[in-house]
Amino acid sequence: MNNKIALPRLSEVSDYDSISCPSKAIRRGMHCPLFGCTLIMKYINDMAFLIVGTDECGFYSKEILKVTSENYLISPVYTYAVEEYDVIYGCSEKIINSLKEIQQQEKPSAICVISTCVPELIGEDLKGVIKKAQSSINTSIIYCTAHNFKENSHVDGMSDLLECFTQIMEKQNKVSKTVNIIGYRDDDIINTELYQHLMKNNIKITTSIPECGSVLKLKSATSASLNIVVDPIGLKLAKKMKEMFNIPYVVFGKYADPEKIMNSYKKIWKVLDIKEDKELILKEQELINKWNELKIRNDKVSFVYCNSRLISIDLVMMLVKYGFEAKAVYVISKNDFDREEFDKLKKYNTNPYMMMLTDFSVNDLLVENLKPTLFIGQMREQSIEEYNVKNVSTNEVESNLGFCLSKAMLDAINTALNS
Amino acid sequence: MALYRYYPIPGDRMGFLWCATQIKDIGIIEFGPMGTTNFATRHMGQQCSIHSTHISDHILTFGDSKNLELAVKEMDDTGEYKAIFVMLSSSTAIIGFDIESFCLELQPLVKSKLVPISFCALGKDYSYGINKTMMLVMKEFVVSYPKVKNSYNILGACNDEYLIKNDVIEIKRILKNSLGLNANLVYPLETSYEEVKHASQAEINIVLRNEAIPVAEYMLKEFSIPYIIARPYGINATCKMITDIAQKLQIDVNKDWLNSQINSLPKINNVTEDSVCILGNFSMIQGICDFLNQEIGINNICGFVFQHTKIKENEYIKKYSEKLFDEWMIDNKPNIVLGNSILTDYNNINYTNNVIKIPICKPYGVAGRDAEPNFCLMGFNGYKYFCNMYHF
Repeated sequence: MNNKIALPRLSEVSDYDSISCPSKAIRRGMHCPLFGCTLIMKYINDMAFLIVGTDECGFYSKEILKVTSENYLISPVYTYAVEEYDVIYGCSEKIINSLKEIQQQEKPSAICVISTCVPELIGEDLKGVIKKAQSSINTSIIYCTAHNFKENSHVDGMSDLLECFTQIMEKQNKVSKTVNIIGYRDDDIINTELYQHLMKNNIKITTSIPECGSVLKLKSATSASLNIVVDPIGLKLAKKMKEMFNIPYVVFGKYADPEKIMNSYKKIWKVLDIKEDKELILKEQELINKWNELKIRNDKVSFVYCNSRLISIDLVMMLVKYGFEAKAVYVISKNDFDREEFDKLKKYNTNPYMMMLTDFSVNDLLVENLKPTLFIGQMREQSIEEYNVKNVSTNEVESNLGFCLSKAMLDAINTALNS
Repeated sequence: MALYRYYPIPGDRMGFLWCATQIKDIGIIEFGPMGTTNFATRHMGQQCSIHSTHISDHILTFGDSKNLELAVKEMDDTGEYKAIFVMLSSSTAIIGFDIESFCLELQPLVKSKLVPISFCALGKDYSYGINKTMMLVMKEFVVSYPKVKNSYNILGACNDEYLIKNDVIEIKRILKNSLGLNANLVYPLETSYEEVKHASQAEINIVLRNEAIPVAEYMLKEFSIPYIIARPYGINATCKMITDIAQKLQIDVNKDWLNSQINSLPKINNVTEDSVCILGNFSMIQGICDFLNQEIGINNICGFVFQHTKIKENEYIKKYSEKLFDEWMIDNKPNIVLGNSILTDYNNINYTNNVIKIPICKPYGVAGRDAEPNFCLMGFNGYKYFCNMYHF
């Protein structure tokens, strides 16, 4: 490839976490883990948050809340802005005083302390501080880390914050035929295939995390019989709830592969004692047939994959399985679903360039040099025209959970190919 | 105070970015996590590109600068940058990474001028950052050039002020028409390496804020360029700016034009019931307080200085603290507010429909989404805008 940026191929990448940025001087980069935590904050109305970090951490969080929340200015998100003195001498007493002030001001059901790069780097024992504070503050205090030198992006931030919600959960008796939906943040869940299937079988949804709305609802999660994880940000939480409360989980990811979707349904049926759904079995077969039609195309189709609503690596594997050539694959921001699929991709007969998308200017360079038939992901109109590439953008595929989503993606790919 | 419910006071790093990102042909590489760089690219200026090396705990533990070196070389290889600011983040500042020595050692191997930046956002505010950055850039880039007649520099036109672009347009209009002067450099706002380099060509410097006074002093000493301090809110301060410049340069004022401007301006009456809250930097507050109190006649004014800097408080100007600010707002329920989102989006009191809200500093609105403002507050047009808002 005629460019100054060295791109490794899949065969040169030993594991998912070794996938790296194409350039050393990263332009823009991925969002910080704190960004991810801030995106979740709006969902739990009676939880206050204390960000322990620099002024910038707090400033940018408020800027994000301005976009995501009503009444952002008085939303219970506080910043303790660490100063030089704190770095040298510590700030435990000041943090405790801050927590007391927040408790007095907000009277929240819980307070979450979010520790960012600076306190983590200096080794401020915030867990110990919280334990000390708890003796004089009559509100549950939980602790979450969001440091960008260990975590990659906002996805990790969301994932870690969700996991830390287990700190306020307590064991409860299980109620049969109930589930939690973990990780859902899209449009109304009642329109999804999964939800409608659960309702059809009289399965009650105990709560949806993070959209549950309150600390009480969060706590109620431990009465569910099953956790259904629909987004990678929920996987750590589900694993922790299995460990702490013995609540099983099923990953119901946004797969392209109909067999994986059916596998997820079967696991749900087994745990919840639901009969096989003939309609869904038929849907699976229809979808498999539709995917098979890709095999009989005469033309050689190549693609660069950037992003979509589906699990990236799963979609890439499906396209490769049906004879498409993967020229380059971006990881937008690393996530646990992709991480779990990565080793399978290594076994496929494909060797695309692999990189972390942190610099959109590389998009054009790749398309110009690799000349793929298809570009899957967000691309500027100008670039689509300039490089004469067929584009499948996320916007063309409506969000859903189940076979519908895989079919919608397949339809979008076919539409682009036939355009 | 370190606990904030609203926006924290921005730190020195943000002050640096507000300045540096306005200068074309400069690149910035941050030796730190890419998350903060991501934020900066969305919220700061677009003239100059900001990059990050990203960072891991391995790098923080061992002080490994290999990635930084490769990143600087990568940027230098593009040939796009006359200078590259090599910037620490809070994390790398804490581990004591010696950015100055790094730049010194790498300089012979790259064409771009490497400028080490070591702000760390641990207590010093944006005002300090703006002050130091303006001085640093001047000292690094400005060289001696022959003077260009009838030219001036505006120093301290900084992008943390929401209306600054339009304010500068108004100042330029006034100085062109009243004195026949042209702007040589507006610093540091939408400028370039070349423009900054030629700063010494100007006959006079106009200093808009306190943070730029050291730069003006430096240019007086090094290049014999005199300066005046101006914050032209209202008719009086605008006229004073014009006459101060005329005196320094010993030139005549176009009185016909000036009178025609003043005579066309509306008047404001019956201001005794008004109550004003201002939130911004010190220079801004001082200028607006003088305008509203001495020229318009409003007495119930409180200006909260959104900085950590020690200031001399008086009956109108107070140091900002959220507690004090909340108390004043609840007690006084102002009908005129000038500031950032903390004031304009404040919801601890019910603003009436008649309240005048004027955004004058950032953060305001949604960066990258909202349209740029189409009004100014300085000069005659600024006065007119204020009167129009008042009368509605």
